Amino acid sequence: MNIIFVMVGTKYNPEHVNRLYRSLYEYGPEHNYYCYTDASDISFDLNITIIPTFKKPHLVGVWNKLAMFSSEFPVKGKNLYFDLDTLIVGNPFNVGIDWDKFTMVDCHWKPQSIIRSSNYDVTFNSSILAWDTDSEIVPQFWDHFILSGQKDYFLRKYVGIDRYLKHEYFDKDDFAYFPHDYIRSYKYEQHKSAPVITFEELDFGSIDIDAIAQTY
Amino acid sequence: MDPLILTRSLKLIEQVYDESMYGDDDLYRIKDIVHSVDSKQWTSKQWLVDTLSTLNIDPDPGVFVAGGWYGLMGFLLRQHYTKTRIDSADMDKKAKIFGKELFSGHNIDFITTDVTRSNYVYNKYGLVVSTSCEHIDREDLCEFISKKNPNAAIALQSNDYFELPSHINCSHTLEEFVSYVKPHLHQGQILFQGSLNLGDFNRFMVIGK
Repeated sequence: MNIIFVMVGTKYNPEHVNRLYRSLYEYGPEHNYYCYTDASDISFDLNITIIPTFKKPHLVGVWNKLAMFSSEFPVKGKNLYFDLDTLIVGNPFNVGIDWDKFTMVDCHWKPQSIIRSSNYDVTFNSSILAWDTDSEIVPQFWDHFILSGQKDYFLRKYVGIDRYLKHEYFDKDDFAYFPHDYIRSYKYEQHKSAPVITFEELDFGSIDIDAIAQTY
Repeated sequence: MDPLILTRSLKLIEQVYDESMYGDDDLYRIKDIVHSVDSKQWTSKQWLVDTLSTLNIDPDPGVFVAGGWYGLMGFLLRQHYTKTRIDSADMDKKAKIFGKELFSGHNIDFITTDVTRSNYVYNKYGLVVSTSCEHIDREDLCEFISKKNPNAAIALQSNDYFELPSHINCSHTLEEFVSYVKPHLHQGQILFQGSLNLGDFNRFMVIGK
């Protein structure tokens, strides 16, 4: 299996990648580790294979995650993606994944009262993803973005790729979610135990993820 | 804003809403239409037309607007160039549909094409305009400049508004913008370069040959 990270821009640095890599490697040394990055001066652990960002189109921030679904992305097979603000506190590979589907995080903790259709809000996120490159739907995420003539419109319309994936009429039967006991939301599920902890973006940066890791 | 264009904008917004009730549910187009004719769009594009008018540029046989969005640039150019052909191109097919609604009767041809990916021939125009340089990959933009007719003038705008995800090719300064545009001008001739403060960001403009 391939484990993929994305580090583009200045929000994260190689230490974030290395920290996450080491915590995953402890449970899965047999997997292949990759980082898609625009950084040229990088000091990743040796076992992480660097994938340079596509020259075109130039994308900003989280939109770079879409490149993973391009048929030109040089990693094939079964893939597991983790955002860099993810904390691993148990075996993250002991999870059942339906590889015929595109698997995302179900934000079941998100209050329905804050969901606004006019904001194209969603009840899942892409902080952790699993997919097989042989899937029929996955290349469509990138192809539709690039070839529909609406790339620029999508960038204006949607705050990030989660909303793009939800609202661009891909066949939702091809989507699946990780089990609820696999992931804990640090913000919304304070007393839950799960091997993987995700942080809402607004929290991350104001908290010391290494200090939290040491409590496990 | 021109009262006729305001009226048409409101009518188009109503159409988008009505369509959302029975067909294509894309209400963000409402916000997009509003943005396309807001005061900063109007000011920036009028600045381009006003500057062109001082330079005595002959646009014949026509003006090509790349990334023309819903057509405001073509409309304002039409106020100055009353006779010449004006083509407004955008890769978004909705731009043609909305542009025809907003600016009908002003003899603007709307074209759906991505000039950075297609083989659309735009070397037949005497004046090439793009006010969307911050949305176009720098490499593509340079290639686009070099493919114009060598005798044609080109007017380009960009900005330093880095905060938007769709702004993938902003420049920090006017000098930076000029520095990557100039080498691709056939005659290497800068007819105008300037900056316009729009409050929370600066608009940069280069006109050359």
